[in-house]
Amino acid sequence: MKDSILENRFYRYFLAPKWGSLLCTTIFLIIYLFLFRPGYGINDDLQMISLVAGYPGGNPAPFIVHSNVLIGIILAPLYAFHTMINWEVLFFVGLNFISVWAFLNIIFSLATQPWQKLFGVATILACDAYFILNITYTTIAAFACLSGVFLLLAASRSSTTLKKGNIALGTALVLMGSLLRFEMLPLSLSITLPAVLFSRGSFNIKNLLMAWIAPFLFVAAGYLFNRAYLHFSPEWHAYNMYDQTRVLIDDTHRLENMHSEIHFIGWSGNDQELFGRWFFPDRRIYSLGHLQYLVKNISGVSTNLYGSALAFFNQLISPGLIPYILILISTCLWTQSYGLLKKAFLPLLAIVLMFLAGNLYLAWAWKIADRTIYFSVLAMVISGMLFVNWLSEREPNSAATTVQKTGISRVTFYGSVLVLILALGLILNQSILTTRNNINKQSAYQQIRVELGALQTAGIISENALIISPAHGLPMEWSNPFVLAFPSTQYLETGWVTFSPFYEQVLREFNIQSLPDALYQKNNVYLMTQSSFTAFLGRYYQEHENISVVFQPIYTMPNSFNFPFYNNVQLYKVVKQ
Amino acid sequence: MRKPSFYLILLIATAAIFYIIFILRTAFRIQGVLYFTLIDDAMVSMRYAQHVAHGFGAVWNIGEKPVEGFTNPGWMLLMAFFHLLAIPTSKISLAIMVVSEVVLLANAFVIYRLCDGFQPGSKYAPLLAATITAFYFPLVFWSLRGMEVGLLTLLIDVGVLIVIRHTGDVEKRSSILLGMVFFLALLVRIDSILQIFIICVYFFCRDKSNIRHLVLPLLVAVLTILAILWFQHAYFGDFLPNTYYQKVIGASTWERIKNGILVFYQYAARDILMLALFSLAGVILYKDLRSWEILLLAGLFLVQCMYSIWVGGDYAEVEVDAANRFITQGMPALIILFSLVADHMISDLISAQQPTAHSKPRVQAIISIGVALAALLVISGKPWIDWAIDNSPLLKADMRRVKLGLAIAEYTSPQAIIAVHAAGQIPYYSDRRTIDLLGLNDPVIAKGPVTGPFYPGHDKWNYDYSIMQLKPDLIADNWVKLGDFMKGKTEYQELDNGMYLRKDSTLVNVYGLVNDTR
Repeated sequence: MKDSILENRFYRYFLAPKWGSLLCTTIFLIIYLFLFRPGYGINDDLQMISLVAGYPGGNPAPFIVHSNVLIGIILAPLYAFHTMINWEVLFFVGLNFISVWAFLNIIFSLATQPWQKLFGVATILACDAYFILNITYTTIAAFACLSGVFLLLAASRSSTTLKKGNIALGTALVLMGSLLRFEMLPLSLSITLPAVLFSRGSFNIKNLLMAWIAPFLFVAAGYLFNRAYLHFSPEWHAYNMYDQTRVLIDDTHRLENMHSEIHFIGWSGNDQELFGRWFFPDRRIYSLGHLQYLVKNISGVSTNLYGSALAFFNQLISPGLIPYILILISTCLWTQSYGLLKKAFLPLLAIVLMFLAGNLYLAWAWKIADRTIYFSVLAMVISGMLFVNWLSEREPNSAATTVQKTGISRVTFYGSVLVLILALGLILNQSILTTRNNINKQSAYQQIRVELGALQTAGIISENALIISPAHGLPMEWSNPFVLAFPSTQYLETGWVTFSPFYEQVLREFNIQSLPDALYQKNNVYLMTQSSFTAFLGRYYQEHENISVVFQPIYTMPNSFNFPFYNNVQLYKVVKQ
Repeated sequence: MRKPSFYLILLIATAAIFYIIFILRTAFRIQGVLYFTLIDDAMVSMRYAQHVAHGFGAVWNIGEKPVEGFTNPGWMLLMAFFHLLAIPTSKISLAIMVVSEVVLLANAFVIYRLCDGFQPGSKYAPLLAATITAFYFPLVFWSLRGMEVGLLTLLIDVGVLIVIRHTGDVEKRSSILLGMVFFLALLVRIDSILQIFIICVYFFCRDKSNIRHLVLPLLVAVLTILAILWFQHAYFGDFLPNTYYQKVIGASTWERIKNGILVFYQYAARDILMLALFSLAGVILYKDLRSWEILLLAGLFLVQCMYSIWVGGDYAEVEVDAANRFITQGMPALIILFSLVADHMISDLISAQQPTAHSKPRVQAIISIGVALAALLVISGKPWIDWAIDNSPLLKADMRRVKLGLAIAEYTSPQAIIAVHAAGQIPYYSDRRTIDLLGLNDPVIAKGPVTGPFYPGHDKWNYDYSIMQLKPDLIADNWVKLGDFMKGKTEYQELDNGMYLRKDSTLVNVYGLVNDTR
C-alpha cells in the first residue's frame, strides 16, 4: 500500500513542494483574476504607465520616476507593440504569481503537520487577496521583496544545505521588487531581520551571508544603473532633483508646518494651497530654489506626536486591516497550542515591535500612506507565521510536533481555527465588496470616456483639445487595469509629472509656453477639476497676472456611486474677463 | 456501440431542459403574437434562406444581382428548408433554435465518446468534458441564437471521432463517413478547412499507412472547396463571399492582428487560461499524454485562436463578454485536453488516498460533475450570471429591431426602399428592398475603403453612394457618423423616432410609423 502511494504520479508530482505550490498558486490567481475584479489602488501607476506608453503626445519616456529605468526600458517597446495591452500590470501579475509561489513553496517544504501547512497557505493567500485586487506598484514590489527575503532566509537555515534554486529565485524577486520600488526592500528587511537575530540558532550565519551576496550585487547594480541613467540625462537629472525636493514637502509634514516662511519666497497662502493641490506649473513661483528654501527652513516632522500615533492606531483598526490582525492573533493562539510560545516569543515580539517602531517613525516623519500600513501589517502577519513554523520545525522530533494534550492547548487550538475562519470570511467579504466597487468604477470610467469623446465629436470641445487637471480630474485609476484605455481626448494630469522632460515635451507639442497662461489664452486647452479648486486658481490669476477669469463649465463628470474625491468634477474653459 | 451511461443520459436530459429554458427566455410578444428571433447576423442568412425557399435564388434583394452576404451556405440551406415548411414567420426562428439544441446535445454525446476514444477506460474525463462543453456559455449562446457555430463544432468533433476510432483494418466505411463530414463542414463554412487540415495531418502522422484511407476524404475536401469556389464565382461573381471583402480589404494586416490580439487577451483569456495551463502542466507531467492525439487536440484549438487573431476578432466580444465564435469552435478540443489531464490527476489523487473509491460510478460521476462545475464557474461563470439577470446578450436590440421591421412592413408600401446598418431583423421582418449601409450585402461598399476605426464588419460605409445615389425612402436605424452626414441634407428629414425619411417619398405612412416605433 505504502509503495503504491509512493509510486503514484500524483504524489510524485503534486506533493513535491514546487508542483503543489504551483498548483495552489495557479488556482488561487485564476479565481482571483477571473471571478473577482482587480482595480488600481492609486493613480500613480497610471501616471507612470502614461510616461512609458507616451500618453499624451506619443513620445514614450523610459524613466518612470518611481521605478527603476530598467523597467521602463523593457516596457517601452512592449507598449509600442500593442498600446492597449497593459504590459506593466501583466508584469505585476507575473511577479505576484512568482511571489505567492515562492511563499507557498516554503510552506509546502516545511516538515510540519498538515494543519500548520494549511494555516500557512491560508495566511499567504489571504494576504495576497488584498494585493491582487488593489494593484499598486508599491505593494507588488513589497510583496516580491518580502517573498525574496524569505526565500533567501529559507536557503540559509541551519537545517538545510544552501539551496541554489532558492537563492536564484530569491535574488530575482528581491531584484524585481527593488527595481519596481527600491524603498520596499529596506521596509521588508526591517520587519524580518530583527526576528532572525532572535532565532539565530535557526540559521547558518555563513550561509545567510553567502545567500545575500548575489542579491546585494544585483540590487546595487540596478540602483547604480538608474543613477547612471539620470547622470547621463541632464534633463531628467534636473527634474529628479526637483521631484526629490518636492517629495520632502509633499510627503512629509512640511505643508502643515508652513507659516510665515512662505512669505520669504514670495508665496501667498493661495500659492501654498495650489501646491498642496498638485498644481504648481508656474516656474517662477515654484522654482527649485523656493522649494529648497522651504525644505531647509521648515521642519518635516509632525509637531503632534500623540496625534500622529493616534492616527496610525486608528488606521490599524480600520475594517480592512481587522482580518489580518485576527490572523496574527490566530498565529499566536496556535503557537501556544503547539507549546511553542516560549520559544517563539522573542522573534514574534521583535517582529511586532519593529512593525510598531517603523510605522510610528513613518507617521512622525512622513505622511504614511494606507498601502504602506497595509503592507507592514501583512508583512508582520506573514513573518510571524513563517518564523513560528520554522521554530516548530526545529524540534528534535519535528514532524511529530502536535497540539499539546492539555485542556488549555486544545481550547487555544480550536480558538485559533475559529479566529482564522472568521478572518478568512471577512477577507472574502472584502474581496466581494472591492470587486463590486471596481466593476462600478470601470463602467463609470468607460461612460466618462465615451462622453468626453462625444463632446469632441460634437465640436463642443476642440478636435486637438488638451485637458489639464491637477489631482482629481479624470479618474483614470478607475479603468480596468488589464486594458490600457486612455481618453481619446489628450489629457495631462499635473502633480508629480510637472516640469519633467515628458511634461515639457507635451507642452511643446501643444505649443504652450506657460501652462497657466495657456488655460485662458489657447482655445484648445481646458481644465478638468473639482469645482472647489477654481476659486484657488482664480485667485492665482488675480495675484500673479492681475486678471480676472471665469470658469465656464462644459461638462459635469458623473459620480453616481459617490466615490470619494470625485464629487463635483467639471470640465471648464477658462475665459479672461 | 457501447450503451450510454446513465450519467451521460442524465447530463443530456438536464442540458436539454436547460436549453429549452434558454430558448423560451428569448420569446417576446408583439401585438399578442409570440415571437422568436435569432441574432441579427443569423437573420441575414435567414433573409437569403427565405429568398432561396421562395424560388428567387440566393439574393439579398429579390430581382437584383446575387451577392454573397453570408459565409455559411450549408447553414443557410438548412434555414431555407425550414422556410419551405408552413411555419409562421414569428416561429421560424424557434425551429432553427430547436435544431441547434439537438446539435448541442449531439455534440455533448460526441465529446463523451471522444474522451472515451482518446483514453479508453477513462473514469472522469468523458463526463467532465461533456458537462463543460454542454454548458460552455459562448457555444450555447451562439448556437441557440441561430449561428452555425454549434453545427460546425459538431461536424469537426464527429470528424475527430471517426479518425481516432479508425483502426486501420475496417475502414472503408469510416473513410466515406469522414469524406461526408468534411463535405458538410466545408459546406457549412469554408473556413473549417483549417481544422480539417489539422485532422488530416494527424491522421497521416499517426500512421503513414493511413494515407490510403485519407485519399477519399482529402479528395472530397479538395473537390468541395473547388466546387464552392467555382459556384461562388459563377453565381455571385466573386471567388469569396462579399463579407470577406468587407472585413479584410482595406484594413492593414497589422491593424487586424493587433485588434485580434487585443480581443483575445481581453475576452478569451478567462475562457482559455485555466484550461490551457492545466493542460500544459499535464502534458509536462504525464508522459503518456505526450502523443499525436494530444497534438491533434492542441492543434484544433490553436488553429482557431490563430484564425481569430488573423481576422481581427469578431464583432460582439464586448456584448457577449466571452471568447468569440471562432475561438468557441476550437474550445471543445481544449476542454477535452483539460479533461484528460484532470482525469489523470483525479485518478492519481484518489488512488493514493482511497484505492477502493475508483470502483463506484456514482462517486466518479459526482467528482466529474463537481470539477466540471468548478471549471465552468471560472470560464463561464460571469456570462451565465449576467444571462440569469439580463437574459441573452444583444437580445433587447434584436427584439427592438423585430418590432421595427414589422412596423416598416405595416406602414410602408411594398415598393419602398429602406436602408439599414443592422441588416438582420429589419430587412427580414419588413420584407422590403434594403440597402445595407455597412456593405456586408453590398459589394460597392465591401470593396471600398475603410471609413472608421477597425471593427470587423462595421468599419465601412459610403453614405454618398448608399443614401445620396441610391436614395432609399427610409433610413431605418442609426450609426455613429450618420447624424453628422445627414446634417444639411435637405432631401431627407429626421423623424421623431430617429429615422430619416426622403422628403419626396410617398411610400411611407409617417404618422403610423412614428407612433408605432417612437
